[in-house]
Amino acid sequence: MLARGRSSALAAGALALVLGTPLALATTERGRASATILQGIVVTEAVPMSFAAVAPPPSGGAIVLSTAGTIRSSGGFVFRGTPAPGAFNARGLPHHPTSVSFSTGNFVTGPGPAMRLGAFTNNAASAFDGTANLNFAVGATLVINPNQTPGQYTGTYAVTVNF
Amino acid sequence: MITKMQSRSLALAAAAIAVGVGSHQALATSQTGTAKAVILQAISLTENTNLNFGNILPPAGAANVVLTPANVISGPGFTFLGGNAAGNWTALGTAGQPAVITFSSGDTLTGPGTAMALDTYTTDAAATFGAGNTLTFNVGATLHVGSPQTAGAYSGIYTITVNY
Repeated sequence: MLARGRSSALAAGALALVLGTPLALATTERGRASATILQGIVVTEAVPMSFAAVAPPPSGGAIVLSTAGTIRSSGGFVFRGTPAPGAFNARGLPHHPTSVSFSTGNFVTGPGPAMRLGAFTNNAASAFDGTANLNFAVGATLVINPNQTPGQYTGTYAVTVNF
Repeated sequence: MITKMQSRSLALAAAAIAVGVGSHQALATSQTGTAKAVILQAISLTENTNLNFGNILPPAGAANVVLTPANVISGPGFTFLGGNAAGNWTALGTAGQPAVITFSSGDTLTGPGTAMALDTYTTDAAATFGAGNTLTFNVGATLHVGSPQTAGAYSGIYTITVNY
């Protein structure tokens, strides 16, 4: 009887050590959390594209403006003034990869039939720089119609800068 | 003088008494009992990596971003541009003992715009402390992004408790 009683007391003692761990054994710590909310890429045109002045042959034809601002064409064209590629600035995310894309179906309009503007080219880097900037030039091809009416022609096109 | 009869009786009586005095010890039995105790070490906790949702371009309209303990980030309409990391912690406790992990509530990330709620914490922790008395685990959470959410850096605090 006595022996059994002592065993029971020991068992109860062991249970007491495992159940009901005091809160003094737990620990609480503070962790940090963060996030960076970005805005969409902002693109601004610094300099509009200009083919300057062109005297085409009666047959018309395509002229190509490079990102360096030079124009090449087939024979018979006379160029005057200073052509300029389009110049753009985009603000995105430092060092993040980026790509540039363009609209299609653009024209310049004026006194005569609309002239097709397309085949856009650009010299953008493949990523934003360390200050989140991307500066680039845009060239294009302008298709002049036969006997194109002289005068001022203007148009628009869309530039998209992607992450 | 003791007769033979008397001596036999005395002998019997002595024998009987001898048996009577020792009887409870012969009927008893003894058994070995086992007693165990686990000495628990107070738990300590170290943050190895901050929880970071990284660079987030939100859609139009409020939406939630979920970051899992495996560092998988997702959310409807968001563009994620890298820099995300699950929180990583190491708890020091007692090998083999269960680890109970709980988190704070009402946390937010604050910054240039409206505060964003941070909640629904998840972990990939094992159920018990490992053989080296440690438990290393990752923490994920959900971030409630508003609309519009002013661009910029946001940060905040969450609280984690580890108990047996």
